[in-house]
Amino acid sequence: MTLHFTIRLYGRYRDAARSETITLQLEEEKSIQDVLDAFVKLFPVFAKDARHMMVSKNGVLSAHDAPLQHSDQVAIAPPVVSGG
Amino acid sequence: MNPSRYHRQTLVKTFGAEGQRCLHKAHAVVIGCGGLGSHSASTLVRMGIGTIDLIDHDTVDLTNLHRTAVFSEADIGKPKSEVLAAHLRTVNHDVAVYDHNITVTKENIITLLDKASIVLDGTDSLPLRQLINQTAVDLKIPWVYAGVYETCGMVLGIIPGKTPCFHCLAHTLPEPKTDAFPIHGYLPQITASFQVVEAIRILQGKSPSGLIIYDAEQQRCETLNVKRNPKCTCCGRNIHR
Repeated sequence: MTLHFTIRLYGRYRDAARSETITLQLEEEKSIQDVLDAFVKLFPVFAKDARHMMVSKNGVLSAHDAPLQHSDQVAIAPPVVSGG
Repeated sequence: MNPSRYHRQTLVKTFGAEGQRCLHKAHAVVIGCGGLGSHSASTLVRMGIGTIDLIDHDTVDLTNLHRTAVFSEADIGKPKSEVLAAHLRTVNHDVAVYDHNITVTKENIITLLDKASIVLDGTDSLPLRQLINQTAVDLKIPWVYAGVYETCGMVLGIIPGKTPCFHCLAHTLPEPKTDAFPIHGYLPQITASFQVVEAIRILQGKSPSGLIIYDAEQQRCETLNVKRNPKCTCCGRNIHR
């Protein structure tokens, strides 16, 4: 079954998508990692970020191997580590 | 302490005279005196922190000036911690301001942090943050992580043993790029303000807010909950105590 996830984007991810949200299509219920893989496929320029992307599921910062259900709210933020 | 100096902030109901006393008794350590650290330190000194240590091994550079507090063209080439401390002593002589023009290492970090009530992160090194975190967990000292990039800022208040530590989420963070990174001039000041709010909340005995993400381009701020990682190799061993 094909599922559609609406993903909220932050920072340079949002800038690249030119939208606050994107919709990703996955074939079945999978994990956050599958969402990230689909995102990087759309925006290969962020492939080097993939391991470090900060992902929230339903408002909780989540591990990349966390499972996803269709109703889950997902947001992806770039890692932010510089001290200014 | 001259109470009239802080009268207006003691009128804030959630702060009051008790909050001011709490701040006056506190000892903050600011590690990194660049964009974040210079603004955080400046705000804490103006608000009446009792004691503050300013630590940075670097010197002021022309490329720092668009985003830092206090520094001027005349300060280029001078040690950041010394310039910042000298200025802040003129801002509020009630505050004990100490500067340390040194690199934080595993050999000196305990000496630098052991009297701290709160540590504020203004570094740009992931290994240093992990060292701060490990030391803070060992010494049970709260600290506030902050990071900035382009138009995004992140802040996380950490109370060892109570909230997730930095290592609980650090596996998701890369080492910062050492070359020039993009950053808007306004972002460190905004992010530093969030950082100071978290620091003061913690000093007042309140719980940290969670992982704060501020996106200036959208003028949006979101707070994510962060859970402790029972398998965390830093704080996980104490999770069931």
